[in-house]
Amino acid sequence: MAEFMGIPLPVLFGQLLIGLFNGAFYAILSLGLAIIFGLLRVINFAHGALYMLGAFAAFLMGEWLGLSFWVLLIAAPLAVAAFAALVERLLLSWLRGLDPLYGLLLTFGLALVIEGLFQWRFGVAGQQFPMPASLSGTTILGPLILPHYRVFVILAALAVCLLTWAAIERTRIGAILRAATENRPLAEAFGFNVPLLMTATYAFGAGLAGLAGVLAAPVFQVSPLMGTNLIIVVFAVVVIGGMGSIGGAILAGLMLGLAEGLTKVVYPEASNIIVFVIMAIVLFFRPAGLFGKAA
Amino acid sequence: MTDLSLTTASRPRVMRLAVPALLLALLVVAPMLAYPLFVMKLLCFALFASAFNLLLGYTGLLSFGHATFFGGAGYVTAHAIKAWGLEPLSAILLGTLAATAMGLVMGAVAIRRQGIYFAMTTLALSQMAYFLFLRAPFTNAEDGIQNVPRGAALGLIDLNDITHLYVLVAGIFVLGMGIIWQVIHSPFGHVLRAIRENETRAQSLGYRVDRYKLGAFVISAGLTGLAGATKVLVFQIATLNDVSWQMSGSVILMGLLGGVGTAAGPSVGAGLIITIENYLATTGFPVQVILGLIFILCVLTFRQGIVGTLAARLRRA
Amino acid sequence: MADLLNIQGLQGWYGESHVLHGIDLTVRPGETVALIGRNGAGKTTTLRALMKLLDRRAGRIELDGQDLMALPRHKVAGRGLGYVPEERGIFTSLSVAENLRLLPRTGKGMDDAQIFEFFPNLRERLSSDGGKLSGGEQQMLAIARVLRTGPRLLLLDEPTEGLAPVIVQRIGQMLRALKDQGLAMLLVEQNLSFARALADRFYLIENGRITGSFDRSEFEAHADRVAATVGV
Repeated sequence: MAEFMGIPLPVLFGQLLIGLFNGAFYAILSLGLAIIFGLLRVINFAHGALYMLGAFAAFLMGEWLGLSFWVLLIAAPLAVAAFAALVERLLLSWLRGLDPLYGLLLTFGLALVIEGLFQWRFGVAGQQFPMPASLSGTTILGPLILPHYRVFVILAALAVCLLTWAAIERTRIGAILRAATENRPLAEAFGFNVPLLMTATYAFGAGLAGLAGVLAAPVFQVSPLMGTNLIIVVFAVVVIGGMGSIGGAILAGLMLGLAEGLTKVVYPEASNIIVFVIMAIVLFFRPAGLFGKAA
Repeated sequence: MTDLSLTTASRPRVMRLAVPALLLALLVVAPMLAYPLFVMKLLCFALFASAFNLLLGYTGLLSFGHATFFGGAGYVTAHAIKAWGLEPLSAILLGTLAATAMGLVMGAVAIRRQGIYFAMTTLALSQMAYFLFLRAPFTNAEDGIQNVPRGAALGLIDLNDITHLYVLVAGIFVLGMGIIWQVIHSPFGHVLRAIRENETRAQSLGYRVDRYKLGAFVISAGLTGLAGATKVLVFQIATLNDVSWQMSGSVILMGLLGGVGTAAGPSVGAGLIITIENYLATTGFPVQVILGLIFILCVLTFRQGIVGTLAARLRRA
Repeated sequence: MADLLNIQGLQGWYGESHVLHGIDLTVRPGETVALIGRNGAGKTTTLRALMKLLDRRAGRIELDGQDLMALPRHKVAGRGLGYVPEERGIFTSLSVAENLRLLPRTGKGMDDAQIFEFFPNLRERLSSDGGKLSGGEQQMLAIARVLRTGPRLLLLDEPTEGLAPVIVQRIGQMLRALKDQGLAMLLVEQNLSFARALADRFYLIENGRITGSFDRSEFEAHADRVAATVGV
């Protein structure tokens, strides 16, 4: 069997694929965090809970309404976005002008409430979510074993990230978002309804988290705590990437997923902590993060 | 990053003597009014929250990773007693020193970022520590280190006697609070507050801000360790729960609810949260929902906390 | 003739500090009015108050007899105020073209051809980052983007600040041309000779209060007071 540095190639590629798969989730989630932080100056601790809500929305709508995976892929993120819009209007909008730490604490409290309620109602055990039949197969290409669903998730995540990036960098609404991110009061004085834009931005970031949740549902179990540990890793990704740039958030997510996959091959014991180790190293040499502007 | 904190009000001199005297009296009568074990738990968490507040309230740094020091010291103390047969006071000291060392490492990395990033960095490093503790050979993963014998302090005083234990815990509490008091009122503490008010200005005044921040972080971590190590002696168990992010979140809530930047606030907050947790533990309703709601309420309406709000009322009156 | 802009008893606060103590000021259609005072007298704050960029305000602001005080911040510009802020307020994360075309149109503004006729330099820099422009180019962009919206009144906050004399002259010519087309302007300026060449009427402002006003023809007669107010 072909090997690379003593590691069988199928194992290496397999782990890299899983790494890229995990990286896809990091990328979508850190992208949402970065967009929200850019405009609202809120570190959204509830992002993990919103991800969980996306998975649960898909699971429940699938159970109750019998919707297909493809419909859920749209419907569940919309449901999460609608919920998030309410959260922004009813809670976060009260914190305008305060230290960003309050936003972190408020969304932390929110995450506790959401996850606690779901735990109370559904227990900690995971629920099975069926994989769409059309994507359940596997293709073998030489040393590459490609489970279709994982490949689909990676491609879908890349597409979503690229579309979001293009929308922000290349469209008029994106220009308005960038202007408001840079100077909120001035953008408002120039005639843009910035409070509405903030609600929409929070809802959009939350929708991305919800989408990640739906994508995760067929692979990971749908459980109330599925987002808690994930969000902390994503925070580390965000610290590593720096929140200055949208592209940086996406790239850092994918890279760290790959790094995690590689670690699983080389030294599996460290795969849980490799992202944090990289974060510590990056902080030491580049405190502003890999893609961040110096503070 | 000054917004979270409250300037300490100058109080009349009588109050300055009356408050500690009252507290000491309370310490003496408390075990007669409530279960001594519960009071000791309260004291441990009050010290924990006060040590945490040294950082948030007096330096303006929000640490989301203090559970590492609390639970980490607990693991070290428990292991030293159970596996090495160390005398309890030395074991507590060892746990405290270990937490101080962990504080030095985490602090050195985290102070390289400010504000919100500092919080996220401490959270991430603390999560890393969590995984390390989970995997470490001596922590027994999910089971924790159980049945830690209390032993005899200095080989003489039997700590299985609840009165002896209480005196020891109360003594450690007074010692810890005394150290915090000293730090706050020392020239070092004044520099910390200057950093909290305006970091750039403190820097331009010639203070090596990073060293002060690291100093505050290490002291806070050490005292947090003292609280965590003591708690092990009380409950005879060291578990993963004490190094989890939920624990870091709890201590933030204690500070926030009681009043960040007030001397007594964190203790009041700790008392309330512990009481609520104890009460809810019997109902089956998830504690974290209530804690989350309190978090949201505090942030939206009550940012000065109970003691902070009371102090503001008194000043106006 | 009815006033285009009518400000009465305008007060303003930044947080707790009270910075405007009752400003009375009018601008007639087609008129250029200069607000003169030293640093911190409240010139910039007056313009910011018009755009609802202060924490708190009191008093009356009317444009063409319509109240502006009750409008939410994002509706103010739509009534026809073309705001050219202090230090230009160019968005550095946007290209020049994006900066130029960002603001929503509020009236019959200039089209691209007219803009480039006025500001030929901008045409070549369209794809640059807003932050890469020189100070003079930024100032032209800041004026150009509001001209595109079709304002009825231009609010100019120190358009000459930090610019080389030759650029100041160029900007002066542009504003003169706009004035000749009948556009009303409220100009905040420390550069006295620039203001004097352009304005029809002058207001002196000190410590958040209007302390005097006079026509262009009376400037000479008030020269001493002007000098004392501005501190030259």
